[in-house]
Amino acid sequence: MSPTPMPRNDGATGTPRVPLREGQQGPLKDLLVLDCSMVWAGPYCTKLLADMGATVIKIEANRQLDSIRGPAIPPAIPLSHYANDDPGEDPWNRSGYFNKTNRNKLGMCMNILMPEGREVFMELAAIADVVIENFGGGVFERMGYGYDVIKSVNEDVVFVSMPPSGNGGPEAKYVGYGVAIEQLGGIVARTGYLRDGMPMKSGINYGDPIAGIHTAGYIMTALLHRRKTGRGQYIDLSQREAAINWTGEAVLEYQMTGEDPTWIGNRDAHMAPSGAYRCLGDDEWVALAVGSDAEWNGLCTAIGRPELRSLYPTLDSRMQNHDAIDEAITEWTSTRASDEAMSTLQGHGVAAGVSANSRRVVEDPHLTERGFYPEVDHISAGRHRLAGVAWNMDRTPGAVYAAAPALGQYNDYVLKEILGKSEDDVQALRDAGVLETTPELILQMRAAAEAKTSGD
Amino acid sequence: MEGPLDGVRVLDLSEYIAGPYCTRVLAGFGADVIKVERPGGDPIRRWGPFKDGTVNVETGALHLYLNQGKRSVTLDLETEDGRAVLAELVASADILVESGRPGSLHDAGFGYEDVREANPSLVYASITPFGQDGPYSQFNAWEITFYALSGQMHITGEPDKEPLKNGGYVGQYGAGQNAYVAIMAAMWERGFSDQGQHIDVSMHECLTSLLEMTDMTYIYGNQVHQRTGNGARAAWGIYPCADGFVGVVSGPLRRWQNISTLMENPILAENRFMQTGAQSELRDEIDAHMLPWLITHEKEEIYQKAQALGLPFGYVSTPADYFKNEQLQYRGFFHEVDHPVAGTMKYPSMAAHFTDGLWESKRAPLLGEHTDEVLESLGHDAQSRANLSAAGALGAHPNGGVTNGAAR
Repeated sequence: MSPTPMPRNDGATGTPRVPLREGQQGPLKDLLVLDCSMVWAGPYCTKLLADMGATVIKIEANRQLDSIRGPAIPPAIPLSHYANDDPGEDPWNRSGYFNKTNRNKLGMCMNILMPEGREVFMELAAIADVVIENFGGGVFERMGYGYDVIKSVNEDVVFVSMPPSGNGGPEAKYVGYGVAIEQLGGIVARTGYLRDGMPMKSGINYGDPIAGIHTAGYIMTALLHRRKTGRGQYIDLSQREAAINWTGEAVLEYQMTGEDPTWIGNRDAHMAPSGAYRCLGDDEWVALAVGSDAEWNGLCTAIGRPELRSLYPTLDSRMQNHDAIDEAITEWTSTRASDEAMSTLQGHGVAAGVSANSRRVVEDPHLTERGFYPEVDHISAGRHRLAGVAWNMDRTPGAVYAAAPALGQYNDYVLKEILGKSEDDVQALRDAGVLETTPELILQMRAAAEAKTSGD
Repeated sequence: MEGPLDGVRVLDLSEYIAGPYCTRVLAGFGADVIKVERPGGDPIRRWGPFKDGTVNVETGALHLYLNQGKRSVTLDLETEDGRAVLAELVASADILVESGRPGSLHDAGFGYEDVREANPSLVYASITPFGQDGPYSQFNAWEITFYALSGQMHITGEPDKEPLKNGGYVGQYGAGQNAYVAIMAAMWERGFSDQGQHIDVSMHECLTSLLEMTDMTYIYGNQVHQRTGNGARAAWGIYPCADGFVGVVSGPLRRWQNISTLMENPILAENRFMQTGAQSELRDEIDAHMLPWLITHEKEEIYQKAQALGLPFGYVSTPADYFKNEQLQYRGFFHEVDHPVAGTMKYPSMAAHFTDGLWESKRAPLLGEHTDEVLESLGHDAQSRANLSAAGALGAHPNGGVTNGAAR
């Protein structure tokens, strides 16, 4: 017998109303999130919620895959590495970027523009605590899924929209990726090499996760508000504003000084010396900053240059003689392995850290001891490590308990275990072409090949 | 207006950026945040620039922004009386946020294990560079330290130059933002269990979590991800323009033609530029065709024209640009806030509109401004408060005005 979905939780008991999967745990395990977001900003938000135990159902279309799965046909230079660098038969299930970001989520591949798909979607929307989308301004609404529509079946839903600059206003329909949002949000204006004429982009698309972390917190705040007042909420997030929040002091600095921010490399307005110093080996560096006289004395001792203490005893003198100090530090670091340099410097109270490359990060002894890179089994990609939960909780810890969904992997699971549908119901949806597990482009190619074969 | 966190009391023992940013958000949503400061104040009060260019613990830009909406109480925790007052505050709190070196609050008698019994429903968040345990937990660290170890620095900058730190404090802001989510999640669960817990936030791990796909380069591909500066591919990054720098971002290949339209350069629409991979392989050639147009146009104009063509451009924005941008004005993102010493300025608010509003922008407190009223609310009468002051429990200048210390 199929389970009957329980009524939507009033937030009073904490009892999960959908079955939990093995290992699913954390403070949010009673919550159900319907996730129509793609790429990184929205999925980063729902990753945080899923890591904390929420049941997240990711809805994808086989006509337009989440782009971080990579295209259905892998290009010569892939967006991100495929598992074991092998795209395999199903590259869309093997992208490192996607599989990292979407672990712990249930995934459906469903055409929600077809009436049958729409019906299923609205059934899920009716029992969800949260519905989230990050299409460009207004697209989701034009697909027939605006806040009012969702609210008509779920009065106190928390509905989240997170376009680049918010809904409404002259830029409501603007499009944006994280690479542009970090510029619009003030992150880039302060990043760049000293005495270089150009600012520098970040190594990641900062705009996305900044928006994602903001949104996760706003959702929880809205849910606490709902518990108190019984009211749901429409959260209209601006990714640009989220990024400005992480550079907020610059807004006040400008009003105080009339000067715009600029970039000073690895140097620091409040500390000296500050920089990355070359170590033994290829592209090996140790970074450090000296924020106090005690740290300065420790640094001089560590690098065997005690005479520098009295030569540059004040912050001002260290700022003015930064180049000379950099040389003295490099003379010492350049004959040492980066880890050895870090250990020696830390032993003298200096805030030094290795500039870790991706191998050094994943193999980091500290992260390893804290269990930050747990392993999970993926149905296509195999068993691999993934970055763990972003924070620890001692009584209700979150977990990485399940790999990212292969395309459409949980179609049946969601329909049967969560919506209580029968095999006949599900088969009817399959027959109607609403459910898929393969990208449409691949299906078309297969159909064309079959037509050719039968024609021969 | 009733905020969602009205009636929630937060005891904020944190300093510098990460913890205070977290509690700033809690305050904005209505929580009563009591910032407990050492007698000379949170050291961030001494980081400039300052309003009017004069060193003043009340007017530093970071302090004014990070401590919005809080009440300030000065306590000298070196004194027994100071610790006794803190114990009373802990008993009254729903949430505690601290950023001390792991173990240091325990030494003062206020580690999580020490306070759990007296206040079992307390949500206690520790925000530190490397977390509460593990080989680096006692490391000394500034922003650059965990930025480097997180892997973020190694992937930023030019391949033939040193790795580059982001110029601001994204590592600390990020940890504070994560801590806010974690605390909200703990409060959600507390509603069912009536139990608090200890949250361990590592700035290092929060930053490592943001590596996008570069740690997968090693995990899936057994390779080390190389930094590529601004120039891995054409039309995906920063370009000079007439009045600054603009973000030329081409988006999906089907829109490439619009770049040619925008820049009034038919050469850019040639078929060879519209092939998969062309932006990497023909990077220099594409750049050469774009630059003449870019450097003769201004950033806001380029941004608006590109967006009108559906191109996801941006530009390197500064606060001066924010105040000119129509969208940010339309959204009312900046709130004017008056401060008795720093005067009136525009502050960022929150990054979303809620149906019910929910956010309120208030000013930062003067050092020790609320010591008296908070003590009174704890039941200390005038005599008791005078005794505490005489015993040095409240520091030398409970009402602010302290301007000693090296200004930075």
